[in-house]
Amino acid sequence: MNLNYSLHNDTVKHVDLSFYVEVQKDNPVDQVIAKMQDSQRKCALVMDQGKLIGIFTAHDIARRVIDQSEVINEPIETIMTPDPLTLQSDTTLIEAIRFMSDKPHRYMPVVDADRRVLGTLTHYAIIKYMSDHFPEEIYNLPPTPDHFASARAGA
Amino acid sequence: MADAIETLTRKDFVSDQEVRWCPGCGDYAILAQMQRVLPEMGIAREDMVFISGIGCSSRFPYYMNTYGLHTIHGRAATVATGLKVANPDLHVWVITGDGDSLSIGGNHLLHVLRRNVDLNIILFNNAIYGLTKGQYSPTSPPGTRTYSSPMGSVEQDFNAISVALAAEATFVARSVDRNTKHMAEILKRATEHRGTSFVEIYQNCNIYNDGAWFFATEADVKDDQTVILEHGQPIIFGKDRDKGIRVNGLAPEVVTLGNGVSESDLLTHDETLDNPAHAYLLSRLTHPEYPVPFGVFRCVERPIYEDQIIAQGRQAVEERGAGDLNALYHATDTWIVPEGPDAETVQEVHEELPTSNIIPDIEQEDPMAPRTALQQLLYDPISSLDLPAPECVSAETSVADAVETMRSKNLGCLLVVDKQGLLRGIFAQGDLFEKVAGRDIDLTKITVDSLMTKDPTALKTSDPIGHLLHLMSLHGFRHIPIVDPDGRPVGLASFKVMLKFTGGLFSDDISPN
Repeated sequence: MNLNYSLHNDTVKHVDLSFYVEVQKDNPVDQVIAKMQDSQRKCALVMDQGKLIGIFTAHDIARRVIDQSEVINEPIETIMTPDPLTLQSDTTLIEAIRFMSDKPHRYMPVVDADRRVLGTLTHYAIIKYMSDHFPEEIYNLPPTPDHFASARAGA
Repeated sequence: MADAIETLTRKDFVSDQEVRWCPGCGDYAILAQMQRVLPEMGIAREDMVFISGIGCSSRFPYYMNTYGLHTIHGRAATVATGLKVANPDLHVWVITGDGDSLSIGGNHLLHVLRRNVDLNIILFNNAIYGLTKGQYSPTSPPGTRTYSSPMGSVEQDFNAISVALAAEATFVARSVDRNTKHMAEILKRATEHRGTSFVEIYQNCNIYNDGAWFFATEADVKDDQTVILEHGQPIIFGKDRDKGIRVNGLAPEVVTLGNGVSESDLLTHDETLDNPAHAYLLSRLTHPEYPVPFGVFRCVERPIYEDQIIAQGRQAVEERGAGDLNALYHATDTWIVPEGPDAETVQEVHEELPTSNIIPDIEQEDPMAPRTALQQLLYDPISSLDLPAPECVSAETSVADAVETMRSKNLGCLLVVDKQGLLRGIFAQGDLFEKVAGRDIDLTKITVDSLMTKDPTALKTSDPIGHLLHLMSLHGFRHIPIVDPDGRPVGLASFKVMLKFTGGLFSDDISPN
């Protein structure tokens, strides 16, 4: 498998886009956080009548919530990042990587031509996609780099 | 005790033994998933035992920081049965291979399965004898050319899943070394099942049988040549999820959805059926005629062997009192063999055996050749990455101050160092998300060492970038500290650094090969 070829031909639809939860704009912040924690997802997409209107991530929690307890009962709408950047579903992975690597965003919603949300592209999903191309070189490694023996040995 | 179990991490299961598998062996991927999954299972290390027979896979117990026994060829299941009856509280794993369990140990495998001893059997199937340097195994297909079958094997091979089902196994599953997420799920399911769990893992032997399972693992073909079994779901597969398995009489057939064929026409998977016929039919889906199934073929409940044995023992003691082994031995005719002069001494003969020259050498790279993008991505040292300098704080820093530092400097994580500047922990936004958010905690009253990940996995600047990808993709570590030989942080690697590096690595001049 040629990774370069795949990165130029596969699109963002070909990686795992499942790392998010969906919440509604009037859900209070504390409920959104609980929902994220329960599902171990660090990204929430904020919806209004089926349309994506904002994004809220663990990064936002650390910056805007963690030491400001007065906000936790507010609707998520007041604290989310509105109108998030999105990627079209036919974006190739190499384009997505270059687009994301000079931006601070860890989560990038992916939408189809009708602006329907298909999922969220994460840094992790891209790394996992790339690693899947080299299982022998990446997955089949010992627990630490210096764990290799100098020679193969018997039972 | 429960608190102690909860805090176990992957590192707690990594032993200090050097790993003696060939570089690139699929066994590493299985080891990595086991060490990743076990901390989540809430089982104390001292209650866990890994038992193996003989073969490459059977070196596994050395690399797990649990109890372990490297036992007799083919007899791991037998030793495990004895251990489980003697101490049913132990959590016992049997690590074996296609040679160990389906050749010399075939008999023992059959009987542990039908008895339903509560243990987990992981069979690493690489369809070759690796340790003895490349002879065909019971799972090598007919025609396989090896050092012991130069004109092609003439033997019908075993289908490990079919064998397990025929032996009345209560939990039967298959996964593959290169689908790490799936393997983790299957290992968890096996751990949770009460009774014998039998898991076959397709594993690549990159030295003697390289590519045996590539039809099921290569990214461009795997979705069309495999199917993931999901309980209660119609059996659908294909890169575009447009194909399925339909049953015509007793014969499975591949159909394409559409043109009058709908999902309701397809076979629906049910792992709980008491009759194993459904699971057996699925086990006969083999390459290349059919997509090969991965997942749980069968998961049913049946009484546990050791529960019943132990109950019988208790009942006997209640009814007849505790026994006396010595009295039993002397209850019937016994005799003593007299000492005699005719004991023979056996001369041991040691011959120098010629060293085998058929082991292929691992290819050496030409140091003068220009570095390809892939070589740079996998093998170049971490020092070739453009790493940001880490922001370091002391363990006594209050979480409030740490949050403020991360905010003002726009950082996702801080490294925690001691007075000598040595790495002691990592404190990330993820820790705030998991341990603080939504709880009423005064951040000025707690210090970072109460929330940080202690003694985090770190790499050195001389380690290969491939190992960063290993830790990131298998264990999900977003940030990995890079330290000098003494353990002082000198950089911070992250998903983002890797994306940036990859984005710049590949030109847009591409060809399919």
